[in-house]
Amino acid sequence: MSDLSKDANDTAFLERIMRFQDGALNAAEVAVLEQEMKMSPEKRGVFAKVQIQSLSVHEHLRHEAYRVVEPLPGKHWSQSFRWRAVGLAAAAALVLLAGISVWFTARPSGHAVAVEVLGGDAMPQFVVGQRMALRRLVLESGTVQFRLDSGVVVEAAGPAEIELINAMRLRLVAGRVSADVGEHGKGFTIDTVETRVVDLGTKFGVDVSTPGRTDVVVFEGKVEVHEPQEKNRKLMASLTTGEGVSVTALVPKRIAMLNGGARDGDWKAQFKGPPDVIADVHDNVVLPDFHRFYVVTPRGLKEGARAYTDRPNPGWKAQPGEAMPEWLAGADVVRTFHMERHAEDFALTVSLSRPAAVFVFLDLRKPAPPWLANDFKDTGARLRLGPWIPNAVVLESLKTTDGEPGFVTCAVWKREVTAVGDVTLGQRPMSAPGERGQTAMYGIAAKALP
Amino acid sequence: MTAALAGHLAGHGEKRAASRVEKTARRHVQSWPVSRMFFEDMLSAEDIATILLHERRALTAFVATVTRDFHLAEDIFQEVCVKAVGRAGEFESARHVVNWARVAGRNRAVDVLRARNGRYEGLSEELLAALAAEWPDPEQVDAAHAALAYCLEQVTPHNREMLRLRYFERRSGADVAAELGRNLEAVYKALARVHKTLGDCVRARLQTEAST
Repeated sequence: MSDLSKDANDTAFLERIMRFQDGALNAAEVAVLEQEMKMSPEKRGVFAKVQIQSLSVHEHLRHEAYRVVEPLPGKHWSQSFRWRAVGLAAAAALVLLAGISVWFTARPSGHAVAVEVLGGDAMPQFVVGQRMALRRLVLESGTVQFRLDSGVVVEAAGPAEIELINAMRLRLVAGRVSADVGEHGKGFTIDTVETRVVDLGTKFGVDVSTPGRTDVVVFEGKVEVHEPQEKNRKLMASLTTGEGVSVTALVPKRIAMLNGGARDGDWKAQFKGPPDVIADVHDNVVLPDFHRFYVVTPRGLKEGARAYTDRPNPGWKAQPGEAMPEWLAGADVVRTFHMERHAEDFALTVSLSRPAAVFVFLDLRKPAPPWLANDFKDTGARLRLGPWIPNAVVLESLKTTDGEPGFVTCAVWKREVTAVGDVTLGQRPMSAPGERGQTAMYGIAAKALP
Repeated sequence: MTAALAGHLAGHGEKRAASRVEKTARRHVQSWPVSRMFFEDMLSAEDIATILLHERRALTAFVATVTRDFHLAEDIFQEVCVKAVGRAGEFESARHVVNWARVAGRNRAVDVLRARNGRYEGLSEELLAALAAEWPDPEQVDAAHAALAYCLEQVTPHNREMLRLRYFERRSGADVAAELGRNLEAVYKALARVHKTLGDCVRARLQTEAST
């Protein structure tokens, strides 16, 4: 393709192309160049090659220029240069969706944004406590956590590329970020090619690792997911705690499951690499604007492991004075959520990647439902679930000290599944009409069989 | 959106989303002329986006033939993408998309230049059409791009600085000459020589890769 030497013996022709690119040919000279090419397919070929090679040079040099974090000692770039801060990867990703237009209207301002590095493992590139002015952050691997002057704390997980617009707004070009917005950061905004995510006071995460797709999840609080364009922007989804959507081609779809760690910032909407024991969790709920997700944490069952995606406090604990049973600790654990409206035909499917013992932690206050009693066996072990906030509905039928957080006791049921495949669970026991209180949603864990 | 995409979504258990896509597609079809009613055979928005992504570098370079400005060419390419994706259901093949994008990009570039400069002084529509018909395939373009990464490392620091000023910072030939303390003619000659050297290097690199 680039055989310029064979075609370009006429050095003068190449020089004319250089002048043409520079806009330095007058009309008569352009006419000469045009005539040369009309007469010669070879020269048309050379012209095409030089044009393409010039673009490639432009892209390579730009890519190199933005490979590293810019500490920005107050350097002023030319206006045209600033406008070019959108990287090659971004340009490629732009193409994938109808929301592309956001990039034309929301380019980097070029002003550096002050950040304070709080932590992460992308060292020594960053030093904890360091204050720096960033316009653009390119993180090839690892994580970095930083605070903006708005108080918003952002954690970026590499590979990631972020453009910082101001203390209340950033653009996620590649990778994943999680944000803890705090008291004063309401309105904090993350732009992606597919969405504009506006925080309403929350902890949330945005992932654009998959080209053409933006995943938005809320760990606590509320966010709004809008279409990306400046004009006629529509609200695509309002998400609250434990809800997530994956947006492709302006269509938001529920994210049913996250692969998560113990921290909110450690999450992924799909598995990377082979799963441990639980490969997938999904349910049969189809309701308008239903966006609840489950979180699977490999080997995550330990004292205090968070139980739900829609309630931040309750966790799984051993009985007072006891340790979590050895045969249970370290299992893959699923954070579930309370599903109030969908009752008897609720089905929750757990897909196993290997033979495993599947555990269900069921509120002891109600008899085991048939789907559990028939296929599982009560191990006799008991876990505590809590603390619940004082006066929680779940605690209404329990004798707790008024105003004090309470715990629910759960039985550990077990089923050994000797083949790879799905295990389907049903609805938890529900309160009868007029009965006080509710039962807690059950928990799920799985551990590989020896 | 197309019924094909709806089927894809349904296949993944996303019945509600699939239903929405299907309804949207049917609503559009009811208002389309008969000639557009065979939407199931047409490319979806995702198909179009994928095709344009694949052709990005080749198409942008073509648009730059009109704009003579790679930054502006990238902007126009992106505009064309938005328009193309908005015309989902109207394209029947990748070739159809690419041909349309070339024409749309060329026309948009001419419009922008006329609005900016009051006139367009560039290559004729006839020559641009001839160039388009012979424009290298994206596979060739991308292979050469990859090889160029190595070849740029072989360029002398002085020539690299000249390339940086000209192609990264968008400096004019006259600016480059002033920056480097050379006359304008020497800069054009030097740029031509560097292009030739890079072209030789890329060709050799591709031949080596093909033979190993």
